[in-house]
Amino acid sequence: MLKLTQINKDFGNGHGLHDVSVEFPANKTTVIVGPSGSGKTTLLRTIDFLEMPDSGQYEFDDLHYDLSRPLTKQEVLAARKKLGIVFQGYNLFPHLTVLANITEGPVHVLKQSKQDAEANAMSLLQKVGLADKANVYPDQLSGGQQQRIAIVRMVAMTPEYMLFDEPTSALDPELEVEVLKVILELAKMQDSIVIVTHNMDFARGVADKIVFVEDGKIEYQGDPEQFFAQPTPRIQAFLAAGTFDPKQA
Amino acid sequence: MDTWTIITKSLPPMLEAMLKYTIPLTLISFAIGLLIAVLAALVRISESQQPFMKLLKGIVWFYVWIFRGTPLLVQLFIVFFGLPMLKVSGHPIFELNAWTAGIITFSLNTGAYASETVRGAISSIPRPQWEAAYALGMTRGMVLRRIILPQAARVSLPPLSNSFISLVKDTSLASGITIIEMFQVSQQFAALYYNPLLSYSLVAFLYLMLSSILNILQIYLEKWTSRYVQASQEF
Repeated sequence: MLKLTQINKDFGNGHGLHDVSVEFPANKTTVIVGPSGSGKTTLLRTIDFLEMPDSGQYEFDDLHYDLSRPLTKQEVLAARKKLGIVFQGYNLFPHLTVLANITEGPVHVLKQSKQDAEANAMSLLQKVGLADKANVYPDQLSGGQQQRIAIVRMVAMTPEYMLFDEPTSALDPELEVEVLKVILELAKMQDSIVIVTHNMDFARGVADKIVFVEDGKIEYQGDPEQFFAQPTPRIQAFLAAGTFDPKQA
Repeated sequence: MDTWTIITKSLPPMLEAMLKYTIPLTLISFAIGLLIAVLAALVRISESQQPFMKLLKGIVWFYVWIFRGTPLLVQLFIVFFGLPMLKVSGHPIFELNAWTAGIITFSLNTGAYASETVRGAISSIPRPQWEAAYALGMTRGMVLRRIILPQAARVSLPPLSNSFISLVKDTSLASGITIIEMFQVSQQFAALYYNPLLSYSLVAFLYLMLSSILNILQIYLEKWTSRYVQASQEF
């Protein structure tokens, strides 16, 4: 189980996180939603310590960290070893082929043999329909293909929790679908997932739990049914703002 | 003596000086200079708050300031003629032969310029590349070695080639500290045959040949290091 308690992060510009307490249940898909600049991405990046909070409690299985003191490198690495993240901008390593991108972590961090890592990478590539791209460079691929490879790169590390930071925000609608399908497959396999997304249809379809963030605070966390079916006025306004109605425009 | 005779008489010793001094001086100094440059760049981008690292940063800043801010010829003179003056109980601390003094000065000078190149190249690699590598569980050292430096190498190749070509030509200054390199030999022939135009043009031509070879090398290296970049994005 992954749990953050009373997390504070001040960016000094009004943005940040204020007393955020949230639980991400294991083997479930938690979807974080909220308006732009609300702190969704900051919250997600805090889980992986790509963002360092000013204070708060971090509990992840046997790891218990007090975030008001600086963490050691070992503490950060211990958490990251159990986490994987997919970024909005894919962030594949451009100087490595697709195959080398995927085996980089397993070989050099997990110390798997190159043979095993490559065999595993090929079978994962097969699953996302990109086995024929193993030896090309990321630059030669579409955004949707790059993002599917970024997902494979994460899955190859067999993380306990998979984090997705607006994984389809940079993609055209038809490319978005091919990426969402892959994430949905992972969700169906009962993996522990946390996703930040703007895509409400996808959120509704995939979420076991919804976390609604606004102005750096958690305004709702819990059942997706209730979130969508009986929204508070504020949630209703947010959901309505995300739908384009030409008659009202 | 006619032009052709002067050329055939002076060319072989010039080529010999090129092979024995100009080329080794360039290659050795550039290799050491590059090593210094990478180390200095790593110190300068370090985020460590340890007092030792802060001190090291200060030293590196001072070193780059001095070597970029003074003429190379003056540096050569200080190292070769000046440093032996420093004595502890009558014994010089530095007693350097011309060759060693040359290597030291050229390496440090190249290292100072190239360290800025390397530092700039490292900072040009987007932050998300660091994050993606950290997220795989890599340490800072691994991220640098496996993800950042290979990409920075490509970015720094054109400016480093500039430094390399400058260094080839700058080794002519070694004639000032008694090294019998190519330019020194051409000066001897200029005096011997009373034809400075011919002798110096000849040595200029040889430098031009060397630079041209490096130019071609640069083109191939750039192609190779850019193999992962789409053709459409090269320009």
